[in-house]
Amino acid sequence: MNMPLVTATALRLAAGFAILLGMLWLGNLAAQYLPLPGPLVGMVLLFVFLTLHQGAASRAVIACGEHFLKHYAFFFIPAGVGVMANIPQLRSSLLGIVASLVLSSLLSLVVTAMTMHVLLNRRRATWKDASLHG
Amino acid sequence: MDRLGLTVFYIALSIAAFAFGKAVNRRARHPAANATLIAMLVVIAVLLLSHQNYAAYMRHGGGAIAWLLGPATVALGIPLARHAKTMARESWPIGAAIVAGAVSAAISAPLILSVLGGSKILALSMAPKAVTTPIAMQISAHIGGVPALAALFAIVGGIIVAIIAEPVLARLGITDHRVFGLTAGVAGSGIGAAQAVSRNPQAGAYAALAVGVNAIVTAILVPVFWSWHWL
Repeated sequence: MNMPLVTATALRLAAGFAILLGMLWLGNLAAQYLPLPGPLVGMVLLFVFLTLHQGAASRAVIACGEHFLKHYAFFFIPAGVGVMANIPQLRSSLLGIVASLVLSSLLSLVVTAMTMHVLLNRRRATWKDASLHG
Repeated sequence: MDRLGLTVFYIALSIAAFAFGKAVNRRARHPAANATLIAMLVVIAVLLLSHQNYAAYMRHGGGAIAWLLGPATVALGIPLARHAKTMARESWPIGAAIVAGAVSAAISAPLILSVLGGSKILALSMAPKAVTTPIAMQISAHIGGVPALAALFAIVGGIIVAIIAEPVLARLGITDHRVFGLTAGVAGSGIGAAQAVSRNPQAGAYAALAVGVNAIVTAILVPVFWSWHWL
């Protein structure tokens, strides 16, 4: 009795996956003429698609895409494993790499936080304050 | 093992290693216990112990997982569409903060590495370290870096941000969830965003927004910087 539901879900996920691949294909196509990676262009195309269209196709791509996002970190594993092929390059510059990662992270944190903090507070009177104090 | 058996084994190994990483992360409740980092270390350990190399892993299953990164990255358009209204309302503070954070990370990271004697290929791999890993890999490949190193730098950079973000903001006297979320997302991408989600839903939404917009800003900025040969 559950078979039709299972089939419908599978079809919807397959349709959603097809749309994701379609956006990726278009993104890769456009990326040949842009200084941007194809999947990133595909992401923007999907954003535009979801903003303009709110029908069955959008629901299908959201249903499928949520599964990908839930396990997003999993797809990074092969890239991470690739480090084993590059260990010699890392060993010679370990201090520089660690210092660069820590200092640039610290700088980026402070710059981002202070910029947003100052600009939000400047216009606080016009907004409902969403801070912990609010 | 034959070709098919090896492919099944490496895919199963990757899934099992990731499940293990997630379980450790839940128990440890510490951002340093990152699921992807743990999983990749497990896979590397198994490969080294069985005298296999990275190329063998990629030929048998690893490449298929890596290929799925494409549609998974496209799916990031979903949270972007979901938070579009928030983005529009606070577009000026959000946009300015993301650009400022993206520029400071994209310039300071390769510059510090070069000053401390890192090679040009390392610096090129370091430039996009603040963006979400798949995009960092693609940007680094685009400008002549090593995608695997870019992935490592993005992951380790994200872990560093997840660890230091709260103490740094506390020292600056900032307690706003929106600022915490956006900052963790800009500086630490996906791993920073995961940290923000675990703290507060609003922080998580701003972090998701920051990861998406930072990826676009950095993907435009970094190749432009490098085309000027400023280092």
